Amino acid sequence: MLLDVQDVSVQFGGLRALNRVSFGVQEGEIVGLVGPNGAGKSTMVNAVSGALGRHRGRITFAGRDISGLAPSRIAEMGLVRTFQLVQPFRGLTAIECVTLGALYGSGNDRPTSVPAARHLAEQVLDFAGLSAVAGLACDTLNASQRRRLEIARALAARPKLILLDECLSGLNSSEIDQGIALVRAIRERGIAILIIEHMVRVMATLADRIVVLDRGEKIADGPADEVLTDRRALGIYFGTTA
Amino acid sequence: MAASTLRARWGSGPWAGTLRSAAIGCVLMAILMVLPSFLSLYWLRLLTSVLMLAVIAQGMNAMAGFVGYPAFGNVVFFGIGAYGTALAIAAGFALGPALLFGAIPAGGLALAVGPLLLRLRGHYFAIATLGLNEVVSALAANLSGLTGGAAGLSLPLGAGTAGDAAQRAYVGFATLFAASLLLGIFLRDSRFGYGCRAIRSNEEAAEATGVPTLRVKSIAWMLSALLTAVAGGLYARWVGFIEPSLVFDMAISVKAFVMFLLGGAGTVFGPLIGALLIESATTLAWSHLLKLHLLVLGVTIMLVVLLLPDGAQGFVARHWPTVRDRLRRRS
Repeated sequence: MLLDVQDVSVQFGGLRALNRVSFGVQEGEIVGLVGPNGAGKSTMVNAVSGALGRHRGRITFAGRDISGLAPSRIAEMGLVRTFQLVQPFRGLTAIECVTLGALYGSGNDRPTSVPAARHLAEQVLDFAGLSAVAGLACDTLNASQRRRLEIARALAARPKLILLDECLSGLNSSEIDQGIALVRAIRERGIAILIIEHMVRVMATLADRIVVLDRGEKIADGPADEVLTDRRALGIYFGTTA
Repeated sequence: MAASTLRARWGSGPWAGTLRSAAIGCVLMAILMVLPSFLSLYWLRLLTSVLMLAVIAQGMNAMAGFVGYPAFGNVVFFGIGAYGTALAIAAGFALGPALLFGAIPAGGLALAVGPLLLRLRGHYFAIATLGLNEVVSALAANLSGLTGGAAGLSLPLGAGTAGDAAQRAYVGFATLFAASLLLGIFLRDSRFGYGCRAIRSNEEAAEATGVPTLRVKSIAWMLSALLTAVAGGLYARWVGFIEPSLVFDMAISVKAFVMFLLGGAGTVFGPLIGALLIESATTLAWSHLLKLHLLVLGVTIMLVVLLLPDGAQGFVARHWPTVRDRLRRRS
């Protein structure tokens, strides 16, 4: 198991955001994390990536306990996230933003010089279909380009596992198709993916396995086709009582 | 070599920006080397103080410009550098080693309090650094046994005439200025510099990308402190007398802040441009409008903030393409 989440609970004051949730991600696997708003998906992402600081339970990555480590340490081990609210680096150009990912990020095969990192960034931008905007300031890109830039930045960090937090929301249909193709291409590079997404279409086409959260509890976990036909899970997911 | 060939060779490639800045820096240093033989003592002293302020402004720029942390109380390192160096000289050390007695405590202080204060952001951090300056300044004023207290500390005169002393101060500050340019290039182009700029731009995302933000900020502040402290040490040797109200004077920080903003925050040459502009303006105002010079300075600062929010270098960078296109069309 590449990522192993064991009995993780998170309490915000009187609110239990996550209650003894366990799941895992295998090497090379795409796992979808779904659930309605407030289900605890983002809390889980923050707990796994280290942004939360503290939680109960145990999270191991590549065999090492990462509970309580700084986000930068976790990224250095090869677990890199994107942000739900796209957070472009204001004042940096797209290529600088991706070069940053290459210069820091995972400790594996890290480029040894700034030019080498820039070279890698050029390749990743090409891979993400962003070569044409490489020299533009991050904050001048459109929504779809920003989403792909977030993915490119994470990808340049050479992750073993990439956490995609709603990386396709707010995009139109053809942009979503491009996004799906990009995520598939990432998996073909042998990178495991934990994807948080609202759209069933995306989950059905991408995920090998789906974990469903509702009000901080895990209510389903299994192969995508099984979970997506599970009436109870779907009912909660769509907010209907089908 | 034709300009186009030069551009073809240097204008692209991974280190183009670095090489260009290094070339500009070399030309500047060459000018600074020959300039003293054409200057009277008055102008030499003025140029020396411009270089000193450019260095202090670069120290401020390192933190406030590149990392985005307004280290307003940075003058504390100037004071520590001045006192450490002055005490070492008084104890019989030569200037070179004596500077270390100022620089090492200053850098050490930044590394020691950095991990605490650098958890604060924006004006909270700025106020905390002001507090730091007050504390150290009060210590210097009250440890009279060591520092001479509020009465100040006089240094033995150096050898030679007043002209020789001015010459030595100039050489010292010109050398330190070269080091400040190297620091600027390092902060712009290195891996460490990428980390700094990522923090300025979005600290949370920087941390998530793998930048150890607290460590990078602390080291950047230490570099800023070292530069500022050596400037303080050279200043102590230059003027020969220091007191707490002189070397822990917040006006130095304010000036440095205005200078790097005016020149262009987060740029290599911005602090020099700012120091040149402000010092020329101040000198002109002094000599022609003695009673109004503070007013002139104040109005200049307000105009800068209103009209040049990204500094002189940013202003040129923004408008140069338009100007160039117009020139091309005309020719």
